[in-house]
Amino acid sequence: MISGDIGIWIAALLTIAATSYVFKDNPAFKFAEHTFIGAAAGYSVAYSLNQLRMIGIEPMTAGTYHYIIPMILGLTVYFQYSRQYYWVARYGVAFMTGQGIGMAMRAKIRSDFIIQLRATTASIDTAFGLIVFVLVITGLLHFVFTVRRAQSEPFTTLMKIGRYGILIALGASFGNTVMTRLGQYQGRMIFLLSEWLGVV
Amino acid sequence: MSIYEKLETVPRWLIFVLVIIAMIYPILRPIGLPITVGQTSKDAFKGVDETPDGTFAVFHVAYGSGGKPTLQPAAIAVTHHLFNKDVRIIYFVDNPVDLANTYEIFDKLDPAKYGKSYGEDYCVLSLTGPFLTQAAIVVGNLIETIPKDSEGTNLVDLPMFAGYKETEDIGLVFQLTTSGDISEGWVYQAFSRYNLRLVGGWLSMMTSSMIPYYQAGQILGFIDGSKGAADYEVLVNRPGEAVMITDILSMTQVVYLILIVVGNIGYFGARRLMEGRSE
Repeated sequence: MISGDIGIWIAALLTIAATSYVFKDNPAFKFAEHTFIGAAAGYSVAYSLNQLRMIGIEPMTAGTYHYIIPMILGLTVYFQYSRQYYWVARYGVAFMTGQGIGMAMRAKIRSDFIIQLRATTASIDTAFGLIVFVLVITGLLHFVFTVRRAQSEPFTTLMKIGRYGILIALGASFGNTVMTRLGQYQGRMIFLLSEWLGVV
Repeated sequence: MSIYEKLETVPRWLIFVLVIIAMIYPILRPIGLPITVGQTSKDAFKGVDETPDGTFAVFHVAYGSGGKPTLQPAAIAVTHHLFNKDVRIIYFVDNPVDLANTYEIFDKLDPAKYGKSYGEDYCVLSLTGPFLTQAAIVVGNLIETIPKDSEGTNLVDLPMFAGYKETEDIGLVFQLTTSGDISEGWVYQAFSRYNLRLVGGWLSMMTSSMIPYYQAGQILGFIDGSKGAADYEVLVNRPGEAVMITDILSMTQVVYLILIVVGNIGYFGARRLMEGRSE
């Protein structure tokens, strides 16, 4: 049975309007697109202001006065709109960038280099581990451009193996991307048939 | 125009109509193809199942509206699993869509049926800001930095946090995300920095970049998109939307394979025809 809920109807019609883009760009699609962006932006602003009130302003007014420091640093970012004082914005941005790099660096080196190097060599005694090891080495070799000797045999053959490895990885990644995009639309299709039309 | 040239230029609308038909058919008439549970899903299940009793699980919901069809069924299945255990859950979101997604999980499952209640067994936190900072706060210094939950209640007033010892009490970090920065960020913060048990779930297109962390033992297991979500539903014995989606995936991929074959016949046929004409 078709839904009588106005919210379901709006969601269903916007879903169809958004899907209509696959045939051709049209006003219905534009309407759905702009509605989504407007609603998302509005929600995000309200959400962020609420967070600022709960996590920043209320504790600060209750006695946690040092919260004023991140607040001021955050406010400095708005100086980028001033031609005369735009340089003040750099303090806030510099603080955020420095803090982000500092937090990521320590753990990133461990996770992305040390543990990965260990894992690549650890399972070399298995067929799969050996294939991974060979493809990692030859894949890296493919990007060696600065050594002249690397442009002759047997390096060119090894580079070709590396290139095939990269292409296989890209192919797998593309296949997964197609599956993901399908998965993202299936949810809407189930919504249309079950919650809107009630045929499932 | 030869038949081969026609095959090469199949109209775009026809392709979409075929794909949409392939999606609708299994919804109306489920095929019920058997689901072979993958190893990564088994490991994800094991990782969640072995969460020590009495500990906290941090559950990061980060897939928005785009990833909802793929990952919401996984969120429901994993929550069902956790609700059947003696684990307190800290749901954590960083945008309004995921806040709505999280409350939808509770609507679908009804925590009271599991004997769970808000504030005693689970709570929802909403944060903003750079992700690595959020992650470090949630697993490292929560009570002092985030005084309130998403409903504005002081965390210290929630019974579940009585005697909470931050990182030491966290038995699992579980993430469901569509963002590469978040999925890798949790590896950096939860595993590398705090040495916590980490299980994840993400879109299939992210798997090729995340699988090295799983193979290196930094992630205990993971849910690989819709297929992974269907696996998890089978493992917790609660078939739902993801199992239905697997049927649709199989059907649409058959259509894709047929279109690839048709396109290739057209391409090679047209090339032979051109070679014949030039001779």
